[in-house]
Order: sequence, then C-alpha cells, then structure tokens
Amino acid sequence: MSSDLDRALDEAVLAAKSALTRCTTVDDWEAAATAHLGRKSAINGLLRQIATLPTDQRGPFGKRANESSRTLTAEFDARKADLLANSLAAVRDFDPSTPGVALRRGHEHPVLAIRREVEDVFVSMGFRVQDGPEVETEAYNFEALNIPSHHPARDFQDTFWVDDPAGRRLVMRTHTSPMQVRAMRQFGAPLRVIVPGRVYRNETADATHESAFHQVEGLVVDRGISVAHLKGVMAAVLGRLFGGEVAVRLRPHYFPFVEPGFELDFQCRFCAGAGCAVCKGTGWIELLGCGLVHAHVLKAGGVDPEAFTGFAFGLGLDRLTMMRHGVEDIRHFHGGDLRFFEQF
Amino acid sequence: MKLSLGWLREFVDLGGRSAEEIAQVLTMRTALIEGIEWRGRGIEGVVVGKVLAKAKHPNADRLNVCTVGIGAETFEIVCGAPNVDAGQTVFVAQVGAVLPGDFRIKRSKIRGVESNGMICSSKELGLGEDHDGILVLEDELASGTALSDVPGVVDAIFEIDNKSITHRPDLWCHEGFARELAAIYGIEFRPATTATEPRPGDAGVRVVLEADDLCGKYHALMLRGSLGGPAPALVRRRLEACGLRSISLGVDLTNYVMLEIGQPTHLFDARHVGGGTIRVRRSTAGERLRTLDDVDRELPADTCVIADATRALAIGGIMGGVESGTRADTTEAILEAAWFEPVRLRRTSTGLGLRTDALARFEKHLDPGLAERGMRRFVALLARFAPAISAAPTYTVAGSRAQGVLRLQVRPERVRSRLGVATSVESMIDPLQRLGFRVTVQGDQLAIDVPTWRATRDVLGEDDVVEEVGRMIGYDTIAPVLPHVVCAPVTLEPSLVAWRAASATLRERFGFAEVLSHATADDQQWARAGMSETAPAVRLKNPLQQNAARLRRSLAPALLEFVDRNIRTVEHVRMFECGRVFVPELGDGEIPAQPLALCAVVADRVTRKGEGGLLLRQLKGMLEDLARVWTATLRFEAGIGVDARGFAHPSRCARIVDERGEFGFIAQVRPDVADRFGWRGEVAIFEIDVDRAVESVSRASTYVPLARFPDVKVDLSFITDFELDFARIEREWRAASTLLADVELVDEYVAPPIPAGKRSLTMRLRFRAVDKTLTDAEVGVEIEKLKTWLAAQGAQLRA
Ligand SMILES: [Zn+2]
Repeated sequence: MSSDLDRALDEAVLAAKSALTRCTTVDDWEAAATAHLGRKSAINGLLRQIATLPTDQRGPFGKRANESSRTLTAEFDARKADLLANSLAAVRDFDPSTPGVALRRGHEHPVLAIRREVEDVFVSMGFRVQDGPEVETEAYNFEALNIPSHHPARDFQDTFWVDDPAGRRLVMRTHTSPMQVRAMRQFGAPLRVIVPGRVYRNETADATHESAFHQVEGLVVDRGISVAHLKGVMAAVLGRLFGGEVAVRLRPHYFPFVEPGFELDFQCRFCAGAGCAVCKGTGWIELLGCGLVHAHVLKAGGVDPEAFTGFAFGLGLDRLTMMRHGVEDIRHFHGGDLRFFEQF
Repeated sequence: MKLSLGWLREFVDLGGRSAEEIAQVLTMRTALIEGIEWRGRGIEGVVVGKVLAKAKHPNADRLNVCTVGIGAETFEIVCGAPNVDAGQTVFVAQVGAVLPGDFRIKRSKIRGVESNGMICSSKELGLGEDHDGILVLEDELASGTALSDVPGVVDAIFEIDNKSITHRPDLWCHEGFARELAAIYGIEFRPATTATEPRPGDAGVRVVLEADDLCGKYHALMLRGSLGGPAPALVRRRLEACGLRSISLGVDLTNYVMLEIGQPTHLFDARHVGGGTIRVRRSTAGERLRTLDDVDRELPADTCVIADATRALAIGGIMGGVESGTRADTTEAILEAAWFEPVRLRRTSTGLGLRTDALARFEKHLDPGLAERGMRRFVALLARFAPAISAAPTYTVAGSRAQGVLRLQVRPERVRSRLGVATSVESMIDPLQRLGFRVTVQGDQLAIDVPTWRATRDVLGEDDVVEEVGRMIGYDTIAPVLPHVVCAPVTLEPSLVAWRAASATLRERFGFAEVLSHATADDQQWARAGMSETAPAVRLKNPLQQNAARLRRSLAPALLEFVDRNIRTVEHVRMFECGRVFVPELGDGEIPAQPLALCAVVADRVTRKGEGGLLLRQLKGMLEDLARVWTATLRFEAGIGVDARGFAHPSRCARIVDERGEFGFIAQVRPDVADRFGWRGEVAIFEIDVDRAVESVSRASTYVPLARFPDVKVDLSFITDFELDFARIEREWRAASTLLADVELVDEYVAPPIPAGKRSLTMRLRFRAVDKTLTDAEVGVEIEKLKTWLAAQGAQLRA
C-alpha cells in the first residue's frame, strides 16, 4: 500500500517536473501549474489521502509528500519568475513617444495668469491685495488724483461716462489709481497695497488697443519713502517676474497724481539692451508709470504728507502678456475663442 | 511736438554732441524723445544750380530739356516736373550723386535726349512728401553751394512725446528745450532776442477788453507791408520740418514765434477790423463764425470772441476767422499777442470739438508776460526775415494779468529724503539757477524764486523743486534701496481668494478654460440670450456702439455667445468667467453695486440619446465640488423664477439661496434658445455671486474618527416621481434609522423604460453601530423601515 503511494508520488513529481521543463511561456506555465499543483492534480490527491492512511503510515509518507509538494511549488515559482521576466521583455506593446492618454486639461487666461504671478510676488513682499469698483465716481477717478475737470491730462484718458438717472457723475474707471485714495482712507498709513483690476478707455479696438485692459496699481505709504525705494522695490519685483537681475531706469514723465513722476523702462530681455525690433532699437522697454505720491493725493486719502510719503505705480498687464507670448492681437483676450485659450 | 536740432542750436551751443546723445539726455532728464527723423541725410553730390533755359523735349510732350548752370559749368537735364522754369534756383543731383535710399544718379538717355543728372523734388531728397514738382529754392543761394551748406536743409527732427510735457507750458517751443539742454550740460543759454521798440501807447487800433476773465492780457500792434507773400526759405523749411505748412509771410512768422518761444500770436487784416476797434468779449447766444479751416461753427457759451464793432473775427486762443485773416494783398495788419484763460479755453475747445496748436499751448497756462515777449520777438524777426515790413512804434495793450514772483521755502533735507540720495546743497542750487530759479540760502533752508514761465501751474511747492533737482542730478544716480517696513501679516480679500480657488478648481479638476468678456452687453447678444429688455442696467452715456450701452448684470449672455463661437468645432465646451457685474438698483448711494460673479458653462456639441439632463447634473456636481474647495455651503432650491432669465429651462434649474435669498442659479439652456443659436447638444450654465457664496465659508472641520466596527453596505433601487425629492428621502431615512451612517447616490436614471416624469434611483446605504458589528438580521430590520416608508410615498421598489 505504502509503496503504491510512494510510487504514485514519484510519478507525479516526475510528471510535474517534466511538464515544467517543457514550459516556454507564462501560459504554458499556468497550464502546467494547474495540472500538476492545482486542486485536481495528482499530488494534491495524494496529499488529501494522507488523512485516510493508518496512523503508522501517515507520518513518513505525509512528511515525504509535503516536502515534495513544497519543493515543486518553489521550483514552479522560480520558473514563473524567469518566464515572466523573459516574456515581459520580449513583447513590445508600449511606444514611449506616443502621447499619453490625455485627461481634460483646463486653461488659465494668460493675462490673469500674469496678474496672479504679480500678485504672488507682491504678497511675498508683504503687500495687501485689494479689489475695487469698476464703475467709479468722477471724484475718485479724477479729482482726488489731482486731475480736475479742466485738466489737460484728461485728454489722454478717453473716458466712458455713465448715464446715471440719479445724476451722479460716474465713469468706468480709466485706471486702477482711484484705489490709492480708497485704500488710504480704509487702511491709513503705513500701507502697502496692490490693486489688480480691469480698466476702461473709450477707444476703438484694433490689434494693439482695447477698450478694456488690465492694470496692477501699487502703493507704498510710510515714513521716509523715497525715489530710491521706488527703484529698489520695482527692481526686486521685476527680478522675480522675469528671473535674474533686471536693469531698470526712470525717465521723467508727467502724471498729475505723482510728483515727481516717471516712466519706468526695463532693459530689453531680447537683445540685452543692444537694440532690437521688440524694443524698437532703444534697448529699453517701457513698462509702467510711477512716482512719489502727490501731496494732494495723500491729503485726499487722509494721510499727512509731512509725516508720510509714498510711491505709487500702475503696471499694464496686457502688453506684458502680449510680449511674453508673442500674442499678435490684443482682442484675443476678450474674444472667447478656445483656439486661443487652449494654448495656455 | 517736433523740434529741429538746427533751430535749437540758435539758442544753445551744443558743439559736437550728436543728435542721438542729445535725444538720450533729454529723454532721461526732461521729456521722452520718441524718435529722431533725419532730413537731408544720406545725400551726396547734390548742389544748388540755376535753371538757365527750358525747352520742350522733342519726343515727349510732358518732358522739358533744361539747361542747368552749376558755377561755370552747364548741363542738359531732362525734367518731367510741371513747375520747372527758367530762372529758378534748384537742387541738382549731378551724375554720380546719391539720394536717400541709396538711389544713384547715372547719365541716361530719355527718349533720345541725354540727361546729365536730375532736378530734385522735396520727396526725392527726403525733405517732404511733395512729389508734384521740383523744390524751388531762394534765389540768393549761390550756384554750386553744397546741399549741406544750405541753412535748414540738413537737420535732425526730434519727436517729443506730448504726454510727458503736459505740465510744462515752457517746453512747447525750442527755447524751452534749449534752456533745459543748457542747464543739463552746464553750457551757455542764449534766449531769443526781442525788439525794444515798440512802446505802449496809442497805436491806431483800440482794444476794448470786455471779458477780462477770459482774456487777461491783449496786445495789438499795427504792421505795414506786404504780409501775404511767401516767407523766406529758412522759415518755410523750419516750419515744414516741424510739421507746419507754410502759408504766407505773416502767418509763417506767427507760427515761427510760436515754435521758438511758445507764444501763439495772430494776424488780422486791418481792412476787416471795422472801426479800428478790437472788442474782446463773450460769445452771444447762437453766435456763429466761419473759422480758418472753412467750417461754420456755432460758438459755445463763454467763448472768448475777438470781434470788431459789429461781428466776430476770431475765436480767441483757438482759431481765427476765415474772413479776417491776412491774404495775398494784405498791406496792413494787426498783430495780436494775448493771454487767454486756460480753463475756459479748454471748455470752449471741448464744446467746439476743435484743437489747435495755439490751444495746446494756451491750455497749459502760459506766463501772461510771454504775450508781450511774443510781440517783441515777432518784431525782431521782421528785422531778420522781412525788413520791408514795418511795425508801428507803439502798441495798444489791455488787461493786467501778470505772473507774480512765487517764492518757495525748500528744505534740502526734504529733497534728500524724497529722492533717497545724499546730495549737497551746492549740487541742488547750481542746476536750479541754470533753469532760471533764483536761490538764496537762508539758514538750513533755501528761498527759491520760481521763474514766471514755470510758476503758473508747474512748480508750485517744495516737492516740485525736488523733481527739478532729481532730474538734473539724474535719476540714474540714485541707487535702488528696499524700504524697511513693519512686519505684519497681510489680509487677502475673501472674494479674490475665492476667485483664485474657483479658477484653479474649474481649470485643474474639470478642464475649464478661463475667459473674459466685455463689460458692455450688446443688445443683440442680450436678446439672443432671451434676457429681459426691461431689466435695469447701468448705461453708458458715450458707448463705443450705440447698441452696446448697457453694462452687464449677468455674465451669462456673453458666455452663451462664446459657446456659440466654439461649439461647431469643439466637442465639449467648458468655459468660465469671473468678473464684476453691475446692479444699478443696489449699491451704497455713491456707486452702483458691482458684485463679483462667477459663471460657468458646459456645452456638448451632440447629446447622446438617454443622456438628456446629464450635463446639468454633471455641472451641479462640479459646483458642489467647488463649494467644498471653498468650504462654503451652497443650498439649492426648486428653480422658481429662474426662467425669468429667458435662456433658463423652466424645470431643469435650481436657485442657489442663503437666508437673504437667491444669489445664483444653475440651469440647462432651454431647447428653443439652443435652437435659436443652432446648437444640437445640451448646454448647462451656473452663475453665482462670489461674495455671497464665500460668506458661508467655515473653517470648522468635518472630520469624523474612523469607525471601529465595519459598515454593512446595502444598495436600494426604486422608481419614484420628482415630487419626492432626494433631500427629503435622505432626511426621512436618517430620522427613521439611527444605524444609517451614510446615504450615497449611485445612479439616477430618467430615460425609457422609466416612464416620463419618473426616475430610477439607486442608493448605497451604509449601516454602522458604534459598539459592535451589526448582524444581517439587525440590518434587515432597518432596511424594512426604509422600504416601508418608501412604499408609503408611492415609490416602487426594484429587485
Ligand atoms: Zn531689444
């Protein structure tokens, strides 16, 4: 009886081993493993018989059968790992240059993307970010900024006027500067604030002009604020925005709400100041208007101009965006054409 | 404004400094030079010649064969210009000459006649646009003179950015810029010379100044001689180089004075000044005048009219009348040099819609004393350019407006602290004095007398002096410094934070494109979106287009328009905008309410069968997810009234509400509106007031400790109508079973075979106890409770 079982075990092991030797693929292996180690395999049948043997035969045969089964299993496992390694490497079903399966991707408005970058730089320097109304009073948009109704500077700001049934004198803000006074009235001095937002000019649109565009107004009011600080902050901010050192220069310019007033140019990044088409050969690109806050404006904001001074600037974002991406027509920004937005 | 470098050199000795360097220095210290236009550059071998004879070309009607003399030599030149004539002095490009654009002159045969060069037009020389004929020069030029030796021909013209000199009445002329250059370089400034004659007195013309609030000073001077002829070539060349057209000797000289020293003057033909009296008065109601540009204009109220005894002759400070000006046969003229009140003048100009070079200067608030100087400069120019014209020895003057001395106290310490640079008192005083300021040191302060040409509007206080010092020492000498500040956390506006979060969520999670639309809604777009014509809107007085006067009070119409722009080429459109809308009936009294709105739209080019309404449910899921990002609570209610927005589906919609009421909606676009646009698929849209949405933002955590015993999960499917809403089912079930831990919607199906008006809901329920593992029997009891309740509501349970 025992020798029958022993013989059967030997045969089963032999059959299993020879089947394993013949395996050349993982599929072959799966078949062999099912046949020789599976539930219905001969070895499994023998193992099940152990419990039915008389007690004296159970020990030696049981031990042998279990050992054979373990060894076989180990051999099968080792063989499978080899087969798998070979087959995974042998079959090519992935092309690394084929684009991955795309999930739906969103698109940030390029002007707003730059606006957020600018916000982040200023926030990192401790500036508040404020929002302001787009329909503004004439008083905030002009008078509080030292631009009375007869002032020639109004000619440069073609203004949309609101037809107000209540007779209030309201405009679409022509710049973000009215928020200088609003912010000073709300927060007092010292103050560091930027005001990003949309502004409006009554201008017929073409490739380089729009009736709506984006600005970031900035205001620093503190004791002893100077032109040197204005230069320092702007150079630091532009260094962050553009990366690396950025050479800036201040040119005298006139804005009624600053004294002295400047236009700030930065050295052309495309030609390193040598002169090219982007900078029209000058080596410099006009970026923003700025200056020390006019005493009248500080007063309008409820700040004592003897105790505090400040600087302010107004940065246009649309032209910056156009420059960064080479956008050829400013009207795309308000055009709603997904072929444009899908590129960002 | 244009400046001639050659002209500037009359007032300051610039030596060998190049035009480029001068432009650079002015740009950095005074005003932006936008460009340099070279005249007479790139020309070689062009000299002055005389046309000795003209004969018809034997083989061509329109051509002439001219005999041209240059020094002792003569040449034959074929010329096609209609105005060429014997006796003229002209520029001749000889064989071998080079004209602008590297155009080389060769000997040639034109219709069989040899031509030895070319008689040049202005355009060929790059001196003007005139191509109709040759340029005729002044006869006194010696034949053989090189082009570069003819005064005023070779020149650099600076284009000044007018915006950067808005505040500087003194810079609207050559003399002003020359003074700047002299101060910058520390070199001698030679102001324009003036005639000491005439004296004030009875000048044969009476001036009655009736409106001294409109005109503060008025000088009238009689001139005798032929003012209607042409001006000398140098005068014409300079005016043309600066962009003015040459008209006649008299008019050209007034313009010359204006470009030299900034004072506009005007000439009247004395024959047209009735009664020998000039009245300076207000316009009368409905008064009209045909101005020099030949436009008949109605004069606005408070126009300063220059009139004779009976009628208007000119609009003071802006433009003369067509009848009263000098003409070819004028032999007696009255020169006007006056000061007009700038604020009134601007109003008149705006009322007329008319801007002129004179106005551009008067409106900047000139020194009233400049008027007399302008008159005297005119007389000095007569001596130089037109000695045959005589000015009367006396002039009439009316008005007493004068610019007094303005004394400012300036603290050098304030100058240093404003500029952020340690500069010595001496280095402040020197450039100020060069600019015409008188400076006296008084202890630790400076007493500064502002020159009259700067004191009217420009330099009024200490900080204005800071600017003068700053630009003269050079802003590039100021080293950048970062300020020392109080360290305090910054507060970000909640609505801006919410905007950013919404943008990031909608873009990055759901693939939306962030777009912007215009603030004005055009009527057609408004109507296409089915918006009510009568909804109150903020309106513009002067819109770009009359049909786009309305400011948006919703972002939806524009976004629907954007869907239409893309849906024929894009399978799935997902776009959102965050921006201000304008609500006139709300607001703080000062300005209308302008809440920040967020609007998102999803559109499928084609909607598959059985998926009707799915897009709306997807969009709602996205909005709910956004609310989770915001940690805000959005409450959705049955959309009663949402369809007042004409595009909104009357039943596939919801209101978004808080305790104060509705602040947003979500809806599918009505099929008939979609049809109107020509869309085949469904479109869903939501819009909410961001400020209101983030009012409910809570930082409270909703964390629940992990359960110690496993859940039992059971799916229930049943068919119900829409009267039994989801929120109620969940509420009632939770009330009925304390062991029900979670209710999740797995599927909602509304298409056939489910009957219309009904839906199949599949819910996944999780039961859980805090203190033990639930048995099947215990869960069974709970489910029975829920099923019983459902059956009582008429729901039909599915297997
Ligand atoms: Zn460049």
